[in-house]
Order: sequence, then structure tokens, then C-alpha cells
Amino acid sequence: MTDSQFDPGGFFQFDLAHGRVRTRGGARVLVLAENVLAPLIVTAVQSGDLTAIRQLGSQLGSIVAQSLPAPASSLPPQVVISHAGGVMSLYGWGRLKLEQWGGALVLVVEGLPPLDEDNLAVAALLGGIFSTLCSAEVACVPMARTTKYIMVDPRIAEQVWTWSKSGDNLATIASKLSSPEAA
Amino acid sequence: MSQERVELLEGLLSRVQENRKRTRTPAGLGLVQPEAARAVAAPAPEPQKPAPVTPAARPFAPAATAAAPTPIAAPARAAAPAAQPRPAAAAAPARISAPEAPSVRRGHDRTATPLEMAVAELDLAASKAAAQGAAGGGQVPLAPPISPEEAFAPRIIEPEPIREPARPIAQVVSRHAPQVDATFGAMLKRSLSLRPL
Repeated sequence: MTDSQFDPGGFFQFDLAHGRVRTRGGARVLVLAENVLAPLIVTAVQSGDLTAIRQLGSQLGSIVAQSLPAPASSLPPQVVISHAGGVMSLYGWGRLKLEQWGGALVLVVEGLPPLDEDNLAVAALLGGIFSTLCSAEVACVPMARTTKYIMVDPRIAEQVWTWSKSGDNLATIASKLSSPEAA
Repeated sequence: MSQERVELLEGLLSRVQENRKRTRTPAGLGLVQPEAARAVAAPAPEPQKPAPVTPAARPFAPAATAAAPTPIAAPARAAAPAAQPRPAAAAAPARISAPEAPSVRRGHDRTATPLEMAVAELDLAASKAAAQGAAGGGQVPLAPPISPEEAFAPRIIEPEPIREPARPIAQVVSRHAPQVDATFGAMLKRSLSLRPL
């Protein structure tokens, strides 16, 4: 295993004597069943406040950043996604992949348990992860009825979300976006 | 030993055993000792006889006749509990060297609780020894009575520590390797710069 690969060994420390679980960075975590977490997330979505989920993503992003050999922006995308996906997998948030649609980066999260209907919780989690990891505000907008999340500027996130809810697929949405570099 | 004494001894022993059942006290705690019961058995025969209450039979009488080395006063013990059981308990530990003193203790009262009865048996044994010491010319100090609270010690049971697992609890099942070119920072910057047409 080289330095560019994420090492999950010894990530969790199970202190059975004291009934505590800690991560490699020392943060204490609790193991929750998905059917316990799902109602909490649904409640958060209904109340319109996903701050806690985004904060969790920010914590995961810090863990990813600490595991990387260099700043994420200077590394190949496969290295960054491998580390980010490794941390997400350790926390049970599914399998992470990266796709590129034109100039748009798209995250794919597979193997997630059913949480909220529009996948807004995972979108908030991913936004927290990559905003912290790249030191830039990132909005991950879920594509309706898929497991994909397009990474865009938060200022256009509402517009992209409206397109997605109206039935536009990812190819259509990507075509509706243009980069200043391409103009 | 006469037949009457044997019967009285059996009655006393059965009462001690019954007390033990009623208190549910473990035998190993030492609240009731068979030796103590036997020691009490000797002066016990006469107490069972109903005797009229006379000034000599009152609970304080043994204190007044403490110098008498003979267990003549034993008959008074049976009548005393019915007459004045409460004052006797206070008078007994004062300076009684004769075996009559414990006879009026609270533990021998019919209204006494089983635990008091059991403790009274121990005091009777100590009084017997004191009486023998007094007969020899010396006075043996009585041991302080054992309170029921002192006789019980809490037993603390703690769970065993959880055994360390032989293999790791967490196990990684799969990894992935995305195939994307260029640096992640450049790609993300481009993605974030996208705007609606």
C-alpha cells in the first residue's frame, strides 16, 4: 500500500471496557441503525435544517484531508475520491464514485439505505465533505430519481435543483450549463 | 438429665430453628450458634414453669442478688418476661454476673422479633461464661452485643471485563478506483464555475 491510498487500518478504536468508540482522530462516534437515523433525517428535512448533516460532512472532510498526502486540489482526482470514499465507507455512507459530465463533476453514491425521498441529506453530507476538503463552498445537488449529485456553485444550486425536480436528466442539465472558459 | 429437662431442651432448640427460618438469616453469618443454644439449655428448664410474679422474680432482682453464685434465681426468668420485659433489657448489661440476667432480655420475650431472639441466644452464652468467671472469683466483661446491621456485609458482584476480540471488529470489504484525469482542484474549479446559459 502506497501513501496515495487510503489506509482504513485501525480507524476505529472500540473501547469495550468503557463502552466508547473513537475514530483515529480521537472523535467519539456512535453506531446507529439505519432505521433509527432515517426518521431523524426525515425530520431534519421537513424542518428545513440540514445543518447537522452538513456539519457531519465537514468532519468527514477534515478526516479525509488529514489522510491525504497533500492538499486535495493538487492531487489526482482518483486519490481524492479514494480517500473520501474510504472515509464515507467506514461511516457506512455508501460507495463513492466520481464522474465527469462535460465540465461538471458528478458524485455517485451507491449502496445507501433509504433515508429521505429527495436524497437531500446525502447532498448536504457531500457538500460538507468537499467544501471542507477543498476549502471552497460546494453545493452537491441531487439528480432526481438517481444516485448522482452534481457539484456546482451554491449560487446556482437552486436553479439546478429546479431543473432536476422538473424532470431534466443529468445530460440535459449539463448541457444547460456552460463554463466561462468554453465561451 | 430428667425427662422434663430433655423435653424443654428440645422445645428450645426447635424454637431456635424456627427463628432461623423466620429471619431467613444465612447460617454462616453467626447470628445463631448451636453452642449458645446448648449453653442456654442448662438453666432453661425452670423458666418454662409459670411462676407467680414476686418481688424476687422481677427483672431487677438479679442485680440485687448478683452476689449469689447459685442459679437459684432461674425460675424468676420465666415469669419476668411476661411481667416486665422492657426494663429487663436495659438492666441486663449493667453488672450482672449471674446467669439469670439474660432471662429477661428482649430476645426472650414472646413479642420479640426473630432476629432479636437470635441475638439474645448469643448474649445468653456470654452471660453463662461471665457467671462461671464470677464463680471463680473474677468478672468477665461482656462482649458488646452484635447489632443486626453489623452482622451483614454487602456482597458486591461486578461484571467481568469484556474479552478482547481475536480479530478486528471493523473490516473493509471493498475499495474503488475512479478513472479521472487532471487534478481534482482544477476539475472542481471548472465545475463550480458552471453557470446557466
